[in-house]
Amino acid sequence: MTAAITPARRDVSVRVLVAVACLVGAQFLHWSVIDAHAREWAAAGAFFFTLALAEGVLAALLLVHLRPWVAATAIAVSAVPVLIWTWDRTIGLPFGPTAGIRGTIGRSDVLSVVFEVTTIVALLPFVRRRSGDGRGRVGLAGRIVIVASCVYVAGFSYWAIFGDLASTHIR
Amino acid sequence: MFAHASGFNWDEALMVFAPIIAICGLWAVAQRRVARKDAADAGDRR
Repeated sequence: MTAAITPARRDVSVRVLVAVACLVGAQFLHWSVIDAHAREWAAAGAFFFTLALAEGVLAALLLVHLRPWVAATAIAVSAVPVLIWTWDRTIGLPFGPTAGIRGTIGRSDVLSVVFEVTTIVALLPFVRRRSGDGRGRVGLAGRIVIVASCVYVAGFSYWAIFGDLASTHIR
Repeated sequence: MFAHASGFNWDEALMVFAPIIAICGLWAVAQRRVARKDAADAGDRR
């Protein structure tokens, strides 16, 4: 019985769990805007659908099959929307129905970027490591970090979605 | 155009980023404590 519990406890990493929480948070936020974006431009809806799906799959893969390529893919999937968001909110994307027009900044997109950047930072050490490295005993502070991250992601995701739902509109 | 009418102001930015700074600070302190303990354990084994 102890043998079955011990490996599971040792298999926990604060970085991985924080990344998983952030990926799920980003997935939740991207999922919530699929309809609004698809109404404006079908390709944008498909992009957010694919992105949310990829984030969900990668969150699960990080938990059950942590390998450098999984961490690298999660970093790449998180980096793409950050780059597109930065481009859109600074000079405007050169394609789509609002080509050349700078997008406005709202709660849900800022939170998505925060989650994505956190995922990238949390997973960077795993790109060059073997799967077992970086995992080990999680002390009290580590557990507090994990719980605080989960509460942060859940709380601010709802705050962002409901805040934007109340005020988001199609111009 | 899909837009966020609410915008994002500095008060909200502070509310969003302050917990991250607190969590990162806690994480950094925890890492330092673990590193110090590991160093002490390694010293005991020698």
